[in-house]
Amino acid sequence: MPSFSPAAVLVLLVASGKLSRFPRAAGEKNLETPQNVTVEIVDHNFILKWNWDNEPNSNVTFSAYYQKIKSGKMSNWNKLIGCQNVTGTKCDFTSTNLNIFEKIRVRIRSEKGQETSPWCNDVLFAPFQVAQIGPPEVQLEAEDTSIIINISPPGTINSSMWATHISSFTYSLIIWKNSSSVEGTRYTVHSGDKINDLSPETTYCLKVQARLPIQKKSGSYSPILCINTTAQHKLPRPENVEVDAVNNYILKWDYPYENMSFQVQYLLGYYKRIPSDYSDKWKTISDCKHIISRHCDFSEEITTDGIYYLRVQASNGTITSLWSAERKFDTRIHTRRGPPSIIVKPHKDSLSVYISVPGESEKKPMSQDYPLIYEVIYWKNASNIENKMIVKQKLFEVSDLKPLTLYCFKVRALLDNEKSSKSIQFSNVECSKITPDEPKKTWIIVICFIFIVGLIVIAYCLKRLLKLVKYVFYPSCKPPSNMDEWFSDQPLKNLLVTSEEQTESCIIEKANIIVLEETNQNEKNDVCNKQDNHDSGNYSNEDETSSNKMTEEKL
Amino acid sequence: MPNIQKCLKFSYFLFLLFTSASSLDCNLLYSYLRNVNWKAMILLSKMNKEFPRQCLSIRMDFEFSQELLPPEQSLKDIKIVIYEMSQHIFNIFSQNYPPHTWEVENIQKIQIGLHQQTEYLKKCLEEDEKEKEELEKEVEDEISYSGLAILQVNNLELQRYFKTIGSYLKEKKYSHCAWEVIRLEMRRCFYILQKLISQLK
Repeated sequence: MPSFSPAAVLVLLVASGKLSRFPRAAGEKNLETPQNVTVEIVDHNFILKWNWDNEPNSNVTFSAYYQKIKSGKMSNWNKLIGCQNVTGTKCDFTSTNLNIFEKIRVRIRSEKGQETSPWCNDVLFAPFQVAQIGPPEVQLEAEDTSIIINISPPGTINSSMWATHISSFTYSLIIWKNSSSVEGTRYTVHSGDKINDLSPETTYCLKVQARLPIQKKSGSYSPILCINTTAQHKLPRPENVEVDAVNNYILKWDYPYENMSFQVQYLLGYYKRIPSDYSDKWKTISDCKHIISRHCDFSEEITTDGIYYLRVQASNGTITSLWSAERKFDTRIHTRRGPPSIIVKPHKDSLSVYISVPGESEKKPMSQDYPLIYEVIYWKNASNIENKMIVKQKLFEVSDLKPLTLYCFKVRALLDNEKSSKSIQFSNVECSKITPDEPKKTWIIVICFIFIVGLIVIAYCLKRLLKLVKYVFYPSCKPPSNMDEWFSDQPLKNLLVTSEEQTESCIIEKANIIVLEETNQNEKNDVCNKQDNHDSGNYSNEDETSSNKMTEEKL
Repeated sequence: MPNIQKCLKFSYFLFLLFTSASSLDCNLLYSYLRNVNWKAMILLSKMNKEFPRQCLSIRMDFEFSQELLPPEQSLKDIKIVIYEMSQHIFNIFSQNYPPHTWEVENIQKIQIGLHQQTEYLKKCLEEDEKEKEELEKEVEDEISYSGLAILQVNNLELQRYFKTIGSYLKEKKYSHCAWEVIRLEMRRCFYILQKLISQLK
């Protein structure tokens, strides 16, 4: 199947003009075939044109036929309505009900009475493809130092040529001062847009052209229109309207006078694409109504990512200024992506890194639309060798690190397929080191050891105390029998050593002993031996008992 | 802990001071488009859970064939098809107001997404075009020309398809049922868009 772009059609036409001279069937001797047959479609006006060099006014008429071609199948030849028995060298076949997106083949021949010329070579085209964009209809309105441009799309309301592309039109405008010879300035505008910052009370002229950039169609210019700008309004309009969209969406503007109140309006950007009046679609931002400050947070109103327009108006209570120049605001493009921040925490054998992305907790969840990946770079504190890793999660662990070595981390957020990422900033640098488990274990062991030792010591002390208590309150007076045996051989003097008291009492005892020596030597020894072993506090008591004993014995 | 947070916040603001506004990156179209379309598909499904029975009688086959989307296309061609389709869907929703039973907000959201999507695609296609023009200065343009011609044939089919849809709505006087039929059809379109977008990856 032959390709048939507009240029290809032209090539075909040239070829057809040459070739058609040669084939000539019998019985069609005298009539020439029309030459250079072309189709001209502007908006929804279909014109067929051809050349006819031979004698005009010679009762020669022309008739054209067409054939639909749908997925390679050809229909019968039909009369091209408006192009039957035409006397001139062009005909308007707009009234033929053609599907503009369907290819058709058109042919034409000259006729004179019964005589017909051979067919010209077929012209193959789809109306939409060869259609040209006509001039748009433009209306101007002067407002202060601005001109408002109202554009009706090319074609009539009933024309179906651009019906499916009505919102795809882009309008190019050239404007110049009537008095100046300088070439005009070009703008791309929507219908309803304003050309701002013109001189007051000056005549400006302009022309507008509609384009379908993707279809590579550029229309013809509208007729030149001129208009006078008006005198400047008493109150100037707010200037330098800008959006600051770091954390919240904040509109800022300048104004020369104090004590003014302002109000801000926004428009959903897509209304500018619809070819109808959108002037009533502007909405006042409730937080930015009658405000004195020259900035306003409009984050509350803008909940869907998209393209918006904003404008500001000043008022001093009695007079209201004109609206400022409209500021286009694209939430995706204007929202700044700050670098993330990181926190690094040590673990027993790894470091865990937590990345937080700025603005994510805010209204604009960046990663929702753009899957962010994180480029993590870490290095040993003293070394220059950087390790790079790409992660998708915001919380991850880095293992295979040497314990007790300081590692530093930095991270940056990249978009999934972002390649030229040199300009993207890194986060803060965070350093940390792994504190391995071993020291902890030894500490536990040491603590346990100390604890156990402590327990033993306490147990021992308790035991001693118990013993002491037992001795104080439940003394046992009888020494073990083997001790008796041992002391029987010892001289008495050895037992009386510790204190003066002892000596004294022992002396007393001695005296007794001397008295009682003959009666019971063993018993005496016994008493002194026992006293020697114990504290002085017990002494007198024992002394008493012993003396009692002795007296009993004496008796 | 609050101290750390304060510190972080402060450093974050410091960093922000030095960050520049990110501009539209045509390499990022894929993930952006994928999300926008996905959202639109969900919104469209949300509007009415079931297809109303009384509308079954006017259902119509708009003859969307895979021929509209031949398998071997260059990235640029795919972008053009995505652009065209988005533009057409936008056009359908904006020209004639959909029924009141549908939530206006949902339609608006779809429109906002489609609008932004087409703006981006247009910009990126224009950029591609510039690059291509530069390339063509060096290379003979005949080969690329024939490629363009084939593409235009396909786009014609696509346009015919959308024109049929437009005519159908008009013919049915934008009735509720007609819109329900179109809603189903648009869901199919978003699905096809999604498939096309996945080819951009």
